[in-house]
Amino acid sequence: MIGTELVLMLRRRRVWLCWALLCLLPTVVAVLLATTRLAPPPGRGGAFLSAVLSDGQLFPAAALALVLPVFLPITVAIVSGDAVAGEAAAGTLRYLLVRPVGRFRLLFAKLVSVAAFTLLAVLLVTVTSYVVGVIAFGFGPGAELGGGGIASLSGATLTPLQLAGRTAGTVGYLALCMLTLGAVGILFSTLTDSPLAAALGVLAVVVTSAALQPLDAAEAVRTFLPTQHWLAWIDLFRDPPLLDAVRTGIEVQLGWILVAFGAAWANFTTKDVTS
Amino acid sequence: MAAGGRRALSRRTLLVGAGAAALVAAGTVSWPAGATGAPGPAELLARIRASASQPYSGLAEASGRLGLPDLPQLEQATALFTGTTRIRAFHAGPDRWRVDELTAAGERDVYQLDGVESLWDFGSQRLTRIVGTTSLRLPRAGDLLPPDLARRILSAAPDDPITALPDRRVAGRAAAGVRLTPADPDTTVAHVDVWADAPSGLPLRVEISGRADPGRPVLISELTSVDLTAPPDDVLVPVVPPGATATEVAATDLTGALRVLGPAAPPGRLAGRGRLPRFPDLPGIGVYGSGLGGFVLVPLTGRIAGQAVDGATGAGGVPVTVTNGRAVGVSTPLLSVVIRAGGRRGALLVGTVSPSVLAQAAGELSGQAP
Repeated sequence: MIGTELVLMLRRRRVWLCWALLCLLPTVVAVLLATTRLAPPPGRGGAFLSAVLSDGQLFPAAALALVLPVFLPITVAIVSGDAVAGEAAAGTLRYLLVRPVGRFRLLFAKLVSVAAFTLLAVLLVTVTSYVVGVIAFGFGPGAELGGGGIASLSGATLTPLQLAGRTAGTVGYLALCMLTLGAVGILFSTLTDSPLAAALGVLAVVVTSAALQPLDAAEAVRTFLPTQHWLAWIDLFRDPPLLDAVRTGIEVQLGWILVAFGAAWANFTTKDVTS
Repeated sequence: MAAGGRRALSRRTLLVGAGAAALVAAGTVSWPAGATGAPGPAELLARIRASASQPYSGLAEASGRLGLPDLPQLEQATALFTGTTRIRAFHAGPDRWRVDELTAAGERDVYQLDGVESLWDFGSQRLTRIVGTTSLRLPRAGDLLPPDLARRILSAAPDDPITALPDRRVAGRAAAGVRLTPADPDTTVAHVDVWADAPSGLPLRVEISGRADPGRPVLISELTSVDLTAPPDDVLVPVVPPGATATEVAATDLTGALRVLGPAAPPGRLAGRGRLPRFPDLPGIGVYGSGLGGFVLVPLTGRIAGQAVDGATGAGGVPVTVTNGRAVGVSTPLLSVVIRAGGRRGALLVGTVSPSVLAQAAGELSGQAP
């Protein structure tokens, strides 16, 4: 079942289009930065963006910070909102449920498929932006010294191995953050037969969370907001790496995934499927 | 069948709802403080004052609601008191420490190693070594660390009454609390609450409340995680990464700049408060009042003072009546400011006293103005 869902996901053109668009935005930014050599001043613009001119190896981090607030959530909303509602809209859901497969297994396979999409999305952005960054901005002064490492946010040099490890940690963390939206999308997808409505529901959750974040009045609920911890991965590029915020972020995201997927299960396994 | 389905739906939804509630409860529950072996407020105060050599590493968060206006060139300093600041500290001793101000776009670090101070700024990719010292500087993130903030406040008010507070859990440790209530009737500070690790005396949380709303602290600084062992030596040594620049600058010399102003010697008394022997090397600057009810007199040129008065008036400042020149006052929950302009010289008065005290001081200064 999981294998079937993964193959189906990989065969969809919209999935490849989402990945292509995600990789396109950082590429456009890299081309503009490389041709104009005008990086945002220190402290302004996206994280790491002011430093990429001196070392292209920092560009994957800058690229992830670029796609994180809007583009990544939109693609996850589109794919996860389509998970069940897409089958219902196409009239294939009831035929799917005729097979001797439990509804929980079907839903779990959908979640695995969305998880694979988010992981591959973050991974593709990271790999393409590394290649684009190194082509556009070079390896930086560390390469001349035989190191090839980059300056951490704290100044200490990160070796290529440390950089690879921390980038891998970032990819995993952001994939988990996006999987939260994926689980919410699957929940909405079981509540409606319209994939568009489910995707818009996910975006409504993102916008609401982002709007509540800066409010003092929302202090009591801030730590539970899914977007609150999205930038915690930046702490992985400090030296020594700071794990407090990442740990809290993982706990909150896992909680959201558990509750959203649980609610999707509670609704879908007892739903009268007519389409 | 339909009824059975609804029952099942109800059971499963209830199960998920209960799970969600349990997760939220686990995230919000306040664990009991546990036994602190609290030594009593006086002994705790003595331990806090003696805790400067206690090594620790930790992460702190400071939130301020002082409502300061944006001041040109001083945005970084005022932001510390008007927003939330994340700070990481590595403290091996009074002359071996590192404090990082963590931002979403980078990091600004201060290293103190054997008497030499260095600043690392990721944004500008520069390590700056500071040569010399200065007796007066702008506030920075490290000043808001609970240990530094608590010790500075408590040493400024050695005679004000203290009382014990209930223990609470801070950074996973049982912390003993003490409240300092300023005796000065004119101070804007209602009380300062400090919770410290009882055995070591290391302050873990500080709350400062203003008299305007004593139930709602205007500044809260808390260590969210702490380790009371000495940090490794390598994190205390600043390094210049490949591609970054290393520079050396002299500590800001305010003495020369102030001498250019040719300020009058600050009066021995202002608004009924004696001048303290602070910053004797800085001409024209006077610190008045003891404890938490004090203020500072800073001389300004006539032009800068005039611009500041205009700016403060435009920002909603209240005019202050003076016999010579003009003055305007701005008050926030904790800090009061009065700027006086007139002739070739002006003055900035700022402190944790009520605006009326500063208005009186401005009136006395205007009476002495040439």
